[in-house]
Amino acid sequence: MSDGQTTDTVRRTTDPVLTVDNVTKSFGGVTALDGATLEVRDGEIVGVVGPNGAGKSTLFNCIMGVYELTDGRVELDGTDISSQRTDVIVNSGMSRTFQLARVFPDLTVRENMLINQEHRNERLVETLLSPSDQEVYDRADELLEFVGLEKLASSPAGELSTGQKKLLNIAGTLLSDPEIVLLDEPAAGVNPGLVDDIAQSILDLNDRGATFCIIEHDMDMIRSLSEYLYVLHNGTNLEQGEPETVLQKEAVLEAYFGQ
Amino acid sequence: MSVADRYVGGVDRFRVYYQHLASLPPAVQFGLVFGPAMLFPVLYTTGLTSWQFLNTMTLTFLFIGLGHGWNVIGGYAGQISLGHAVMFAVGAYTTAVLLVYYGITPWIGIPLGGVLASAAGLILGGVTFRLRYHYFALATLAAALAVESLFNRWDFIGASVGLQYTGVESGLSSFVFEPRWIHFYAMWVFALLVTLLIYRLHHSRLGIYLKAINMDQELAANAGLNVFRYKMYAMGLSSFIVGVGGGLYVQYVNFVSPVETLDLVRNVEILLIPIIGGLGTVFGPIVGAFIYMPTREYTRGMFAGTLVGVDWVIFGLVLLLVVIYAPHGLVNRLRDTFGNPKGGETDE
Repeated sequence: MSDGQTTDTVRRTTDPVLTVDNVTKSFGGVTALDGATLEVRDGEIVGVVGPNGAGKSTLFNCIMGVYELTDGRVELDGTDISSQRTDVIVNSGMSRTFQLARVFPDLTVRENMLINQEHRNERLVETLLSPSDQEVYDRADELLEFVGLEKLASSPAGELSTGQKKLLNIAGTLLSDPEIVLLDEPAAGVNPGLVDDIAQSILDLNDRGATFCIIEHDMDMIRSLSEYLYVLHNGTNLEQGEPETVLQKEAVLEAYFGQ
Repeated sequence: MSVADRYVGGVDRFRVYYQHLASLPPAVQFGLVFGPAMLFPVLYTTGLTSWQFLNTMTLTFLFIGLGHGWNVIGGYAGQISLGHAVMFAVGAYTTAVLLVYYGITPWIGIPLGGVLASAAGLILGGVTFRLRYHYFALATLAAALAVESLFNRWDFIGASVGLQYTGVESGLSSFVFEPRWIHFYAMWVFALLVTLLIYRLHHSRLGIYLKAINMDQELAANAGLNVFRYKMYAMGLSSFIVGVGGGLYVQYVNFVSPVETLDLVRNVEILLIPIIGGLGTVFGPIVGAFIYMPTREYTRGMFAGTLVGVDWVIFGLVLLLVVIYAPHGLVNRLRDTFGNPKGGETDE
């Protein structure tokens, strides 16, 4: 295939968790994604960068079933999940945060966490008659402590700062112990002090075995976090490989700076 | 001491009362509402109050239950249904038809009415939950008007004339009680059971899920919630409660007709009660029913025959005041005004 020259000096040995194969998405006459391809392997932190309008968020929306694919295929752990309903995909083991932090403002921080619990085997009657399991509570509190929000557990989530909401979102995605987490610009709109906290949380969680795919505009952050990088441009793959190498490429610089 | 100081003192005293009440265990709070009410029929039989008072209270307790029922789908799940009179009518007609035509006791008819109302709600929800916001509200209203029109022409159930309980003898098995004040206790039990159920819901996972769906549907799906499934669950539950209420109502008035059950006003008053009291709260429908029903009954009695319609003007005025001074319902208004914003956690 012509798209995406590989500079594969990184040895990718683990099994693929997420495979995006030639995904195309058109809105009427506009093609937002044109045969985008991506692979995330178990235990990796994979970065996705590209200038504004490259189709990064559209890609996440396609993966998560928010948009129906025009063409192509998305696989999670070898199972085809193309154009499935979002909640089905989440219950299959993939969760996602949004570019703009989104919380349920009138629910408490802890309740915002509990919403993300495993819903796969939940019985309707049980949800009315019994509260969440103690293990779920404990895990939620543990994750809140991990991202430093434990003192705010009983406050309404609407009172959190943007950065804190992002931390809450990241913690929330992990409650159901997903195979992979997609993070859409975790550092955007966050004050610099918290950016480091977020980056550190991601690294720590990765050490414990979590797999991430991250869209990010902050180049320092993406360099320090990701071990493999995809560059999207005009909805299609431009480059991929080790971050340091990829970001030096002529084509990448041109896409970003027009020169 | 100036007048202003004394005024502040007054507000502070209310704050103390309110916080004291709010800090009581829920069982005591419910006891304060339902306990004294047990004496209402005694007040009537001893001649201390009028039949109008007891009739109003009977309807108030019925509407506490109905308001709670609507609150499940409208307040918690945030789906503003303007068609709940359909479920009320299904419950009422099922009970009446079974008793009057087939002699089947309402002890079976009322729960069965609830189940059929639930089925009606699920059909309505299945068709309309694809729509959102005012489109959903309008679709449910259209459905209600269609059902009213159907019932008006359906001869089997008496068309526009409806069904009378002629020849039905009073007694335990016919659920028609003599003296009539016994029906107050049927409504009282209904209101109490539904209140306890809603209290359970409020603190359950389901309660949190429904509130989340209300706030942000996409985000709820992103947390792995099957939004449609939970909306349907809420609709089924809500419709069941309202259907049972319909059955209890027809047993009380011994008469059912399309105008009585399916009128536009019926659709609206079921939702006015939780809106006045506070959407998505346990005490909202209780407060709302205690304001709405006495206003309706007393103004209607006052102006009947002479100044028809003035009752609605007065009610409109009450509603206007609520909308201006307590746009999120009276329960939430009281909490915001008197509840301690810090430290005063009641929901733990």
